[in-house]
Amino acid sequence: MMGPRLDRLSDGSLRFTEIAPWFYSVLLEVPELLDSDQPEAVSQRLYPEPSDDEEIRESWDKYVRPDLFALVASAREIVLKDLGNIGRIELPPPDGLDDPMEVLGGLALWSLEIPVGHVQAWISALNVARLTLSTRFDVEHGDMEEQDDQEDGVDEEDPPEFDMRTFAITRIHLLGWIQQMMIEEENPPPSDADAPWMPKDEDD
Amino acid sequence: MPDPGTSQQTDTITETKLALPWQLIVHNDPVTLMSYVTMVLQRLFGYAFEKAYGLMMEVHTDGRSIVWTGAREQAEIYLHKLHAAQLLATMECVGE
Repeated sequence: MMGPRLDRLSDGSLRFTEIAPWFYSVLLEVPELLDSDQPEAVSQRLYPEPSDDEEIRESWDKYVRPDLFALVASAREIVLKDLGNIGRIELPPPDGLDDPMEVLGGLALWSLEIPVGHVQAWISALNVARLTLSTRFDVEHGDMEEQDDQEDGVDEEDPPEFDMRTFAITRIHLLGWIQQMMIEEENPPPSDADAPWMPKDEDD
Repeated sequence: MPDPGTSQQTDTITETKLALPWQLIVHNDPVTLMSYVTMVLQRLFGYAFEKAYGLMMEVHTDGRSIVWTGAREQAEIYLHKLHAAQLLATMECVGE
């Protein structure tokens, strides 16, 4: 699967380029996934109980939760603003086609620039979006690994069944891909660290 | 009118809980990225990569990890920040 490319610009901002249409459509969904109007299960996951201690729980409801709501709302505004500036790069039509709109609603790649001061809000927003999807569709650890295995090679004789839950898991992976790229750029592990999320040498 | 003895007892329990250390526990969830948990622990507590990575792996394999222990007020501040990063975290009084 072709993924986007990420570059750090001289002013510290991040620029994603070569964003394919399916990636673009998943990114456009992020603000909706950060809406405050979510099912109760999502709210419980995003704003969990802090302790068994009744006194702490009461003060949490009063003083902390409103701040947590405001942080997510602020991240949502930042994401909305940056998505409003997303750039579209038309691709030339394939041979034999004069009109690119004949193929998949038009061939284009997208580019997204994230100012340096917005990067942490984006990383957090992508996390909220993934948690919202996983809670809405009751995604478990095994579901994530199962689709990881499938992505290694789809059995064309017996393709996986398509449903909204499977689609949600795919979106969780795609948003995770973007989030991972940003984290690696913002917080690279030491060069000698054996972090499982870092690409391995061919010899490994 | 409240029994003065009961009030004094409650005050003592509260003071004792305030004096005891509290621990912050991060719990596993199925989708949060390992790299994200590691980054949050590094940035929040100032841990080196190796320590943050080790705690994250404990969460991943054991389902939970005690990531910090200390005074209650500071525990509440850290927990606020862990929740701001959407980590599934709780605080518990040690030796209660």
